[in-house]
Amino acid sequence: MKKRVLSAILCSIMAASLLAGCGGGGESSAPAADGGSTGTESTATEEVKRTEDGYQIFDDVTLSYLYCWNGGFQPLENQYDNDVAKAIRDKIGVTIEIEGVMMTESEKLNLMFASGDMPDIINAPYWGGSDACTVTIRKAGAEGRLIDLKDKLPNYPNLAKAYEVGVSSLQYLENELNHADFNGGQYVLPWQLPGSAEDETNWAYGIFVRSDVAETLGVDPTSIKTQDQLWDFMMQAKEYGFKDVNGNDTIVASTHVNGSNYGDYVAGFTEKKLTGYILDDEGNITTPILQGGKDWMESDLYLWRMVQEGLLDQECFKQSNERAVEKIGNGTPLFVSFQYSGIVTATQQSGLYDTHPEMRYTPVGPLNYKDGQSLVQTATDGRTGSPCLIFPTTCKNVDAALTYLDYINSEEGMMLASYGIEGDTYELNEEGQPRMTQEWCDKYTADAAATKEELRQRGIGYLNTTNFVVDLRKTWWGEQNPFDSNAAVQEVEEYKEMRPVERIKGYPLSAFEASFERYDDWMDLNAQLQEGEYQQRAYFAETEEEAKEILNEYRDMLLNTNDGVYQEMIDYLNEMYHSRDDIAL
Amino acid sequence: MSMNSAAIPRKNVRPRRQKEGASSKPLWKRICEHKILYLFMLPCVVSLLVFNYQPMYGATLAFKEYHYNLGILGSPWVGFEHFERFLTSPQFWITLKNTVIITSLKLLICFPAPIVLALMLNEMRAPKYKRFVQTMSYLPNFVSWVVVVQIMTALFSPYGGIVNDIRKAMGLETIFFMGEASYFYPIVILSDLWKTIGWNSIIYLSALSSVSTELTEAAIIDGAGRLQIVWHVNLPAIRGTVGIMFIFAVGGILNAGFDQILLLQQPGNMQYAEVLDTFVLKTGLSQGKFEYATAIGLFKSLFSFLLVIVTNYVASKLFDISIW
Repeated sequence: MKKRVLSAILCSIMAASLLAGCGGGGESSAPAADGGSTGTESTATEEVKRTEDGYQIFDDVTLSYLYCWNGGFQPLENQYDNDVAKAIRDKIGVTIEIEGVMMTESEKLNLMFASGDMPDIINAPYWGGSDACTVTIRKAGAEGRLIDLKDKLPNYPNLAKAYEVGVSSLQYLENELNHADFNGGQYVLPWQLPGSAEDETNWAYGIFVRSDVAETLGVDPTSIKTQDQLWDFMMQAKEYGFKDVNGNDTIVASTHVNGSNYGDYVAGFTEKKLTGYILDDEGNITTPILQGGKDWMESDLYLWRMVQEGLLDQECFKQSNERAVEKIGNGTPLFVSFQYSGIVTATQQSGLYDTHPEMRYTPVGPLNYKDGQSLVQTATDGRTGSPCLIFPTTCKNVDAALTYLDYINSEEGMMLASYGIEGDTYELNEEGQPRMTQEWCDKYTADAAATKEELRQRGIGYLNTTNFVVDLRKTWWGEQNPFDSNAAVQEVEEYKEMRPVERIKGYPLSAFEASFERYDDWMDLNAQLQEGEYQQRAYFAETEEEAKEILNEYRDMLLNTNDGVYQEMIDYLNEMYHSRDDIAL
Repeated sequence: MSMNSAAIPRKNVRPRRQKEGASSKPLWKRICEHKILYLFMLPCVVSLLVFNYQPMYGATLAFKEYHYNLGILGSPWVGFEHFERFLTSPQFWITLKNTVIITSLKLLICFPAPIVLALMLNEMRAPKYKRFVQTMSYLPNFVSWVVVVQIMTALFSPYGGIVNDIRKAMGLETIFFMGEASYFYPIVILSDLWKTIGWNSIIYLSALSSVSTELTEAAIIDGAGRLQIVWHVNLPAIRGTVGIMFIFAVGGILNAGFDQILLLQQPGNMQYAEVLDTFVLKTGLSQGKFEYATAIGLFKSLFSFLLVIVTNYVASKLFDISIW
């Protein structure tokens, strides 16, 4: 009998534990009734403590923060007790603990919104249009997963600036930040917005060549201005037979991770524009692909020839970050198209310039646009898409989160996050601008990567990458990052002068896409038929005819899928183009 | 040599239901009589219900427009909209064709390979060497596809890969094996074979271990050679197992191997490498369209279910092998 009872109990426990394991997996977790502002309620009845400069002081609130950008983010070893975190906590009583993700951003966002298992703050891409993350965040805002910030933002002046025209562009405000689906709400706080034209980040993209290649071949790389000149330069480099640091064969032209930034190899086929739309002979809106003819595929055929001639790295479109860094660090590619600072970092990691200073990468061109103008980094008057911060309805204290961000975005907070503690890591110069101490500048010159990491572990520079909403550092202090004035990589700074940022005035035509009646079908079309996929397929075609066939196949499908939505969109944009006179193409 | 097939024990021959004795009592009485045994079964039944049947309600998502705040049950119905969108997509036939080709090739090559390996291992005389080979053949199963593809990329790279270095040393041109369309199918099949052959042979080795030694000895006395024993004794003995595994494999014909294919995708092989699962990821999951992804999943499941029924029926009629 005892055995029977025992076995019955054991079986019941097993079954019960199975069921218990499935608990809490319901439809969705309930959001905080008032939009997650539980912290506000408590402060409404109690006396609110404030700092001298008006920031609310909280009682040691720690918030979870998800940095939803695939890979790459390394949280600090001690996020609670580093110099910067302690200083912020002493001031306003709030700490954030950041986590990264190792999966596609849109997938992670979808999982969180569908399950209701969300952190207090999320940092994610919000590039606008049919971008997967943008669509997901928009849906989450419209479907009650995010806190509406509209009534809160005016209380946080450093954050409210994000919604000013000129900081965010008019089309970004109209079509994305105040999207129609939000029904008048504001669910997205964009960040990394330049506070003025001067604060616009110059990413220093371009093509760079090993110095020894240019010297050996007797070519001044800055004299390369056309696609033909670039072709001849690369062919000469190929025929010479250069070797890398290990004495192995080299690759003529490569990129960084997953083909970034192969487009610069054909920048000479482009025009200085904001969108891909053009005007036909009668002044109506069209696209190169709609017009057909050879013009729309000339840059693709140039890249096809690069692959056929063995100039372009065949692996580059699917290569990992590590593989790209390894190749550049070994001087394996003679030409690299990417951000100059990314190339310099890769060579610093391997010590390439220490052992082989002759292999230093130096700028090519920059090439000229199709019409002969010098290549620039185009920008609009304010950003048209950006990374963003969003606050799920499960956020345990949205006021603490906004206070934290508002403080970090004040001049005092930004200085603390960027430079650390005055007298320890930085000093103010005669103009009241922060500059890293000589000791730190010397360390940085000796080993930039190690110095940055040492500072980062103290929390200095840790929050720059994640929380600066309206960036006015250059306006305030004359430099965007510590060491820029004293110990910046000179060649990178010089290159930024060669390819400056240029703001193009006007309202980009592409901004009207979102208001098109069949916008969902348009987005679906773009998701199904990804142009880049067909273009890259064409680069690997065996013959030029086959490459053209692939591109034409894409064109046919684009024009005929989803009941001709492509042509309808062009017609709609044409109508919009003629409805006002401030449109930029 | 003629073997008496009647002497070979038939696997999977279903015993006829015994209608006498126990069946005369009502079901609940029989359950009460064996309540302890039923209680032992309870965790398995609960587990099956919770993990296999309860999630099936999620399949209704295929007919809904999903809203985060309304959940699966509360979201509005949209009928067959997602199926229509999928079936009229310009890439539907391309991805379906690619999926069926890859799976058929795997069925043709990767399905019989573990049987051959198991038969070969079964014939090995040196037990230590046999165990060593077995262990080595199982190991790749535990290596993730990410690692496998990384290793292959390093080996076959046109820039410093050992295979191309050998080709260059022989005065041959380098080949971008991982990216050229013509090498896509061989790479998919051979890598899958390398990774799964050992692990999949376990079930056949297990079936072979139950072959009567008396039968083998009788065959030897009859003068059968080793190949004849394999052909006339061992193979017929595992016929049932092979048949059942084949029926299951046909059921998975629309699963071409998601992670393997996704990782092997390169611009140059995309016309062959876009399969249903990667298409779902691209157009459904990455866009947050769970309902669309569910519709394609449901389509796959129904198609596979139909295939299993047909294959099982054919196998039952022709070879007397059936999974139910």
